[in-house]
Amino acid sequence: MMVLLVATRWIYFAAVFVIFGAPLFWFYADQEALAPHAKIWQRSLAATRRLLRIAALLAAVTGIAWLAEILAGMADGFSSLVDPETLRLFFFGTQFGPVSIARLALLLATAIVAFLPLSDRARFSSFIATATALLMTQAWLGHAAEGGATAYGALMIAVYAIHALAAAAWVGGLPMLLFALAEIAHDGDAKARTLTILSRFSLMATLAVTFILVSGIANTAFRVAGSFDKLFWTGYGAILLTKLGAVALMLALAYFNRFVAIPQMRLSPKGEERIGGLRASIAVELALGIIVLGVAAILGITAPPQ
Amino acid sequence: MRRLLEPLLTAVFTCCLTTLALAHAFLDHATPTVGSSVQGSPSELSLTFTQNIVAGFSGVGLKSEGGGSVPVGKPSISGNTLTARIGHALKPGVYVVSWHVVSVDTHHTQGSFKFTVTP
Repeated sequence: MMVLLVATRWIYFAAVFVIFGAPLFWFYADQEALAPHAKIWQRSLAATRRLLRIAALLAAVTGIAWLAEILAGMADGFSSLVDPETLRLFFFGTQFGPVSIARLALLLATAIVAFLPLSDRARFSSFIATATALLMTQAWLGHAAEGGATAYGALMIAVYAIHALAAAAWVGGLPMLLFALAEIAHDGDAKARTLTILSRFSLMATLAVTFILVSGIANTAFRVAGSFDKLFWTGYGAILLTKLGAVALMLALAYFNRFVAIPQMRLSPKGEERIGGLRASIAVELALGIIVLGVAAILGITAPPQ
Repeated sequence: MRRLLEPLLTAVFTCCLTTLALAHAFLDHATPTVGSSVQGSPSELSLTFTQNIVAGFSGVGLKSEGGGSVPVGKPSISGNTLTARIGHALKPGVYVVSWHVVSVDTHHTQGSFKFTVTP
């Protein structure tokens, strides 16, 4: 049951991060690509649409499965999923019931948006809206909900939401960067366009990392009630430190890209020869991001130190 | 930037340090007290947890150490405290309280403890 719950949460996190971060990428990296009849970034946009359809379906399946597993865990196993009284109690007799209903509606809306005949701008805006709501409301399905309906509880929810949104903007944008770099590699005017999207992504990522770190420290303080020493002798602490280690590696790669690879590309006559190395570095950064999501999936169901 | 961040971080940490909030509900204290001996039969069980709990998915059971089940009333829940009346007077002996709760953050926890009734 525990392994299933972790796997479900992991896939769900990855899918929703893509649904938020991928469309957002096109709004800050090159909004002209979203104009009707635009002739730029066609291969990357086609790949983005395909990825978003897969992510929307995965999010719907795993989002529903996550709720089902929560309910099965608190009642009498999966048989309780067909018990009307248990379902009534879950959806209408708990603090997280109304949020769960809203999330089911959001997951359905996201899946519908993926297949409606919409312009890229309308579809991507809708994805950002539903993914924002999904990332924020998942706070009520975990540790951040412990504060209840108080100002302190609202602060915990807000900090969690900031953390999730910033992380989704960073990690969810990385596949788009890879798509764009792959397309640029076949383009004659590679260097200028590469530098433009890299610098725009870099600015967004710098902002996102700032929010991630500040909200991450605050989240940790909430979980350990201010006693950070508990992180060094508990299972919860070991998992959190593993997550921090992977994030530190991601930051090291981002630092290399921002302060070594991009300046080198700027100085080299054409810059194309640097794209391969940069793509490899970003691919590793993405792989580490996916690992971080897996660790977060475990962390969210692990009891913090008492 | 630094002038803005410092007061913000100080406020967040002060809040965290002064407000004890621990995710997952665990037993904080109970009446009868965990492992205690009480003279005469208690009339109810009262269990207080480290976090607020959800009424529909939380409960408590009582058995004698020999395994005989003792009826307890429907639990009532207020915030982080679960209370249930004991169905009849307990004879002297060792009893086991088993509890299972769901906290407001959706996590399920369970546990048990013993107490002794003396004449």
